[in-house]
Amino acid sequence: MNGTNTILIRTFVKPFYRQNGGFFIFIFIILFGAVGRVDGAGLFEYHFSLIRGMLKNPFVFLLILFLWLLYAKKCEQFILNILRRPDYAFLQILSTVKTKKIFVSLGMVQILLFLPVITYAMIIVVAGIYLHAYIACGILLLYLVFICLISTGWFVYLIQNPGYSEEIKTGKFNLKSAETSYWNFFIRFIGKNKKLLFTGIKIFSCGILYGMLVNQTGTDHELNMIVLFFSLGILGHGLLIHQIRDLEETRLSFYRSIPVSLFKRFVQYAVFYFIILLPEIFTIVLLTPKHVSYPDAALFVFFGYSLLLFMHSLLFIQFFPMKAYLKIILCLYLIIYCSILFSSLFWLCLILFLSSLAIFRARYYQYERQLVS
Amino acid sequence: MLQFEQVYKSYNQQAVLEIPTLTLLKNIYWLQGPNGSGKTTFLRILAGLVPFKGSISLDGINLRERPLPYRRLVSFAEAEPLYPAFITGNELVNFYKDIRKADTIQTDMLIDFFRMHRFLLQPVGSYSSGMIKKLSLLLAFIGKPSLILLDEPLSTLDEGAIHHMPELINAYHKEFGTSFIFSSHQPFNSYRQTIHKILIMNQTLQLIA
Repeated sequence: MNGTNTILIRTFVKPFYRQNGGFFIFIFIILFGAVGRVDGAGLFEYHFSLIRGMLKNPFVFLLILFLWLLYAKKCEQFILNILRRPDYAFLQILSTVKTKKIFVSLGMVQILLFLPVITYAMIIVVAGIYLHAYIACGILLLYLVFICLISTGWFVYLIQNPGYSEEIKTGKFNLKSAETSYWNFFIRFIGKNKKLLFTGIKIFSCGILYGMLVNQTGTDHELNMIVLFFSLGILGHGLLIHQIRDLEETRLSFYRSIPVSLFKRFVQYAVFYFIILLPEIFTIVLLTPKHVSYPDAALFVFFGYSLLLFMHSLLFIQFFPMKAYLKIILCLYLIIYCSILFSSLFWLCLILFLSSLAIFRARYYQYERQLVS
Repeated sequence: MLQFEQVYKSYNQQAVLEIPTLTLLKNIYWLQGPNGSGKTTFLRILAGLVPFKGSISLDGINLRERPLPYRRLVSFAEAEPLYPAFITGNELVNFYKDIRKADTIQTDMLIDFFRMHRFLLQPVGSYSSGMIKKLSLLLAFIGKPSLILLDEPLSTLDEGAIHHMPELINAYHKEFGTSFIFSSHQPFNSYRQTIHKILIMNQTLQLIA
């Protein structure tokens, strides 16, 4: 490998996977970890039926293409951010390299960034050939090649026009009335930097809710399994919550020194998590009362909401590193499992909500960031 | 009046600050000390950003017992401020203005003083380090706090701003009776106002006559 390629991999590829490790773990858990054996069907059957759904259902097919486009946008945003950083100003030297050569090098970067998508696309193609879905496979491959070529061309243009990346304006997400609300900073942070992670979590969480609740009837309820799967989606928000707390500690630290009452501070988080939970709330409302009764619907919302608040408050005890935080989340999952076994989900929700209040009250001013292993 | 009683702060069981008792009257104080002596920790404790043992009161209001009224009296500008890259300077000014219940005349005056007009509508991510520093100073001066804490206020500022900063401090002290505690390794020239020096050494504070 020549020097240019080594620099490009160390600049773009390695930091990308390091930064998005949590995201990939989450996707991996959703696709492979959370699949159990039901009626003799295991991981292979699960993915085969998933791929068949993708190839045969135009709506699901378009959804997959759209998700890949979002992923391409995420990669582009990452490269743009790197090019804007002063410590990477030395990359300007690449503008002197011949277009063909730099296109090949950046094409390699694009392929490496897209490797997770390409790998899964190859699995789809193999399954597609087995299912004789040649046209869908062809479209899929062409789409993938098209995205890679366009992205590479765009990166070449950015490299050859140093300073252009600075001029690219992104859409302004601005709520005039909410401009001076603290929760607004979090919403904008997600809108700006965490779109893909947020979308992935919501698709999983709402998909689970809809897919499982829609099979329920008002009289015949089997909610335990649904709660168990739904809690996976809610706990998946932990990835987002950790990054929001990190934002608070690094770039919003000024907020702790300004005169806002503890109650108003808690309200900011309460409003934020209510907004975050809106897609799940809409999904539940859509299915109430036909598929889920009013008390159960309220319990679902209360469960999701108190769990989100609790996960945020936990990081006021200590700013746990992501790995330790995920372990705590796993423990929370076990607690939820036990509460379902003992039919005490409501009490668990109440305890989580009150605990988040208590932790916040006790720790907000006493907290100081110290990474613990 | 700022009062300290048995203030103690440690990291990893190692004391970084110990103030048995100390009273600072309304004045302008220059906090001096070598690198790593605890100047920033001291200022962050006063700003309510870092937990500590002991008691700190400003004008009779205890930081631990009455965190909200205390924070109304204190304002802080960090040595190396950071803000989310997507927020504009204007949004931050409005955010502070709303919370500190400041009037537009004052914020306009401060924007003029720091010559921030051209930059305020742009996201902070596009600012130079000097502009971010100016923004943090501007935010610290919003409202009428009783005590303004400035950590290295002159670092990364341009020559004009360095020259004018003492004037702004003097004006606030004279007009609103605001006290200041600032740390600075650069010479701080103020001809109109007496600046008292506090030396921070061997984990404690010493008022220099």
